[in-house]
Amino acid sequence: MLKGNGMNRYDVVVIGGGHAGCEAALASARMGCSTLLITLDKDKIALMPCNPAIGGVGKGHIVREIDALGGEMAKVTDRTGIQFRILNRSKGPAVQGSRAQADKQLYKDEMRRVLESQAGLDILCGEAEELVFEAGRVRGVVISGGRQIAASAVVITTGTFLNGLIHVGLKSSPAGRVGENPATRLSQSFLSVGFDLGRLKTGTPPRLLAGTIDFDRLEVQEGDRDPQPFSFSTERIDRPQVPCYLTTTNEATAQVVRDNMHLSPLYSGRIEGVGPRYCPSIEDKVVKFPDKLSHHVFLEPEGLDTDWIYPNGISTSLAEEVQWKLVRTIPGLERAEIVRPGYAVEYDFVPPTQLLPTLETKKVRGLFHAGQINGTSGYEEAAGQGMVAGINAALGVQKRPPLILSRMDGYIGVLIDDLVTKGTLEPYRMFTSRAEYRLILRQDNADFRLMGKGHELGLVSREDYERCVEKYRQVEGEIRRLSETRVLPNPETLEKLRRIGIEELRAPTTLCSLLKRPEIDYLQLYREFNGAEVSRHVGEQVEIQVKYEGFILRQNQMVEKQKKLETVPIPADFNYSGVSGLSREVVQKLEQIRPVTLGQASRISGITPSAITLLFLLLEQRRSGGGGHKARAAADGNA
Amino acid sequence: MNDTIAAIATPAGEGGVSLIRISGERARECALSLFRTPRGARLDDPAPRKVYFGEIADPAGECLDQACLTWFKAPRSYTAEDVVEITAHGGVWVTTRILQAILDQGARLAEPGEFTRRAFLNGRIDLSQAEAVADLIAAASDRALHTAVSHLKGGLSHKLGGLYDRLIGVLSHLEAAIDFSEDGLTFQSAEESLRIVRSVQKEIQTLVESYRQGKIYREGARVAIAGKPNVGKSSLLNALLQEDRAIVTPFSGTTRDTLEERVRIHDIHIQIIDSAGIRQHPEAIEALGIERTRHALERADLALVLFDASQPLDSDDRLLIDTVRGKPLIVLLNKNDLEPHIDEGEIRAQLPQAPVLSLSAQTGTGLAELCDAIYQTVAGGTTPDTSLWITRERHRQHLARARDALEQTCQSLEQNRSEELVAVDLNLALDHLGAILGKTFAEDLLDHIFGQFCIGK
Repeated sequence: MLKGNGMNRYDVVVIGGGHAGCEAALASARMGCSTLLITLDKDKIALMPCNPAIGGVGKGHIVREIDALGGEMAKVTDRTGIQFRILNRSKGPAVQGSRAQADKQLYKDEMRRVLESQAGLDILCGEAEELVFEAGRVRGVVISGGRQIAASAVVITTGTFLNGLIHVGLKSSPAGRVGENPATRLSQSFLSVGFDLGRLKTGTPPRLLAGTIDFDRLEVQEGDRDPQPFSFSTERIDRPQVPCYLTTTNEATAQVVRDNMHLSPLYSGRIEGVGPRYCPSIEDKVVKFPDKLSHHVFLEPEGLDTDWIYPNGISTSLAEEVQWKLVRTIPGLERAEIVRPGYAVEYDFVPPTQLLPTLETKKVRGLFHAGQINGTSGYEEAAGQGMVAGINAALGVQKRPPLILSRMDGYIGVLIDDLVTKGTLEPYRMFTSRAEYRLILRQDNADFRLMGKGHELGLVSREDYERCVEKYRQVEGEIRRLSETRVLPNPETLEKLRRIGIEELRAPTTLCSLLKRPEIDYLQLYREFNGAEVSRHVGEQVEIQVKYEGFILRQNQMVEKQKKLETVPIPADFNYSGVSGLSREVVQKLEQIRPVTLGQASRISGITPSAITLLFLLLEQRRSGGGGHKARAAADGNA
Repeated sequence: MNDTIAAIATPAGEGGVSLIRISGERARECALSLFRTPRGARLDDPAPRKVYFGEIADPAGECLDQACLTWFKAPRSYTAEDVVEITAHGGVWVTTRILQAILDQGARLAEPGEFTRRAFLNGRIDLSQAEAVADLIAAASDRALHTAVSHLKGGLSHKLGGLYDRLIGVLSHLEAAIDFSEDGLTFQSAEESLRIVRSVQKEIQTLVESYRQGKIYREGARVAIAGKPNVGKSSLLNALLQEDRAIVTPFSGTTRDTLEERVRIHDIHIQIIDSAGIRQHPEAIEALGIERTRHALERADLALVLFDASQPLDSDDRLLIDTVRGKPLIVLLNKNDLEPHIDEGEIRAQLPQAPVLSLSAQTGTGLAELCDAIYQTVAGGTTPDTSLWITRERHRQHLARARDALEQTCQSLEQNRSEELVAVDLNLALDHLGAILGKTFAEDLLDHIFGQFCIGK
């Protein structure tokens, strides 16, 4: 089959070749749908326009979940990463996050290779200019030159390209990324459907030439000695690993910023979009935290074969000549040369409260949105949504029930539920504090949580899935053995305990109870009281599950009542305005979001606990068929 | 959308004035259509929050009563909706006719508590204020009224809000240390967190303990009278019931065939429990009724333990002492009009915490002192204008659980546990406080973190 120029009808069309688009297209094609990926420039597929890194705390969790569902980001990172580190290593397993510096060039080459070799997936270079609608459904797209391509589902992953506007100093120009035209016509097509649009802003630092940096004077930051892969299927990392370097800004840097505030588009009112609070520009840092005299700057290589360095921490949209001055105030960068100035980009997003939890739009059936268009930031957040949008686009075409990930299933579930329920006012990034089930949503058990779903969808091989099932069967067996093995306080036991740092044991106990003590780890216990042979991964799970158990129970206690609300569905045609006792504001919000469950309703901002109680009573009454109550009649629309 | 509701807001009966309240979109329209100025004109454009004098006529034009009308424009009203209040002369018949006329204009009769519910749902008051309104309506005594008023002003919300914020402050450090560990920030030490959590926990504990006090002001105190037959239990009960009306008044509406009698001491209701047991004949089969005494003590806030001062202690008295030991109690040496033979020292030694009073239920000497002692014991030394009492069982439960969760938090901090584990119990505590305040904290937390730390490496 000819790639991208033969067919005029596909099951699924994906517009945009960024991280969301790649996962969406792969998932759809792998599920057996004929799929077309439309991108402006094949060379920009899976580009990392900002920092050259994948993962982190919270983000790393998402990457592992994508992998468990059968996505590609983790595998490609493992093959192209040049420095792997586990963040929060000193903390518990739930909040440890994998992070990798990726070689930007290798990453996009590798992802493109995967896409191009995927059966059932075509790639077309061109601009999608218009969406074709008919009777509330999407029917296809028109690409530049007027060619029309029919599709049953369309996934939009256009990133910052909708009405993109780039700012460097007081100069601004329409662009999606630096040097690339924005998708202006597509923006208009969106407006014609009647979507509300919002405006956001993000930024990136200048890139520096490695040869002009005095690395010898800087603190070296090495990766982990024993790099841990992202993917459950990667055996080990064998690419050479490189270090990063750490330096800091100082009072002179701040002075440059202060002296040139009049040249800042951010502070002169030229930028209207809302930027992320967690990733402020150096201008923001100086203005908002004047007492903090010094900020970290991490110097991250963009790849093995490039001399571009990414200075993480000095994102800026000040004028180019100011950026030169600013960079050169920083130790080690006194002679540094900028190869590309930093910039800010403003772009339209489609506030995600207009989406269902499947990422399908409420207004247009068959139309899905994923990535920055939904107001998120980050490659990982985008890829996670791309995965879900691609899967649901395919499921819709195949007339199968949709995939909705709950907040208990994973961070992707948290992400999407937050987006479609609360919307976002700033570029949304994942934090572990957003997850109320944090202790069970760990990187280490993403396979346990999601691989079954991935397998059911046809995205995870039977072999991989069976290996996962076997692993957790062994974990269960070992935990049972530990809780059934009794330990008596006799001299022999006491001697063993002394060797692993326990001085006393007064009453008989079990190995399981011993393992709960903070000072004992599984390996020590296993050595002294050996049992069946288990793999390292099984041992790790056993240890985590036993040690966390009490905390998990208490965490679940808090979310128990919430869990109940999650199981109460709200009919799609529920008449909120007929409920006596709901304020107009509450009714308005519920009608706008149209929550799928009472649990989702309870998370909408401004919805009071008593409104939820009221709805709960009505829905229960409705379900049990109990009659006669006037409020129920009103809710049924009969009043 | 809310329909328009109306009700008589003053208690039923023949009062001096009565208040009819109307709330909802059509409140103003309903009321104005019935109102005439003294000159007989319609009042078309009233200013908000201004009192207008005139008369209320039924739709047929017949004057029902002279009345004052005040219009409260949304959202500056009790329910945050348009509200009209009509003050008319009391009288069941007239007030009901006015209400009926308003209902005829399209308003609906309000359900009990519906005005307050709307005020809550519209965000005018929070959950603890809404509950305080219910308390206010049902307040059993002046002191309870004071507590209710203090809650209504947001006293409890204010107090809990402060504790809540202090815990959010600790949590934001823990959370920032997890999510932004690479950003080169400095966080609160575990010791500092521990200090704050401990002090919040202590204040919550005080509130939990105040529940008993609060409940006493709201619902009255339960007092048990214990003692062997013939020691003077019935005389004491009768004496309490008949004591000077200025201090003790029988509570109307109780009947003598119930097991409990109610009296009032100053501003507190006292329920005397197990009075049937007290009234049993001395020749009853079970001499002391230990089981019944135990049962009564379990339910009582205070026990009055009677001894016959004219007799030496016997085995029944000693059994009684064992039974009541450890309970809040007042020792009464009755029959002080007779020659004393009792060993007061032994009682004091056996029940060292208890105050000992000498009195004669027969002659009434010492009764006033007893009333003061009961009042002091159940009402405590706290003065009403500086303290907050928890008056709701729901609040007490949430606070007790918050306190326990904070205990776990402290243990985790002391064991140097990782932040996400400390956060589990801290979240749990915040959840319980939030349940009283009617709020969730997810958004507060991020705002707090971003406001406090320069995030972004």
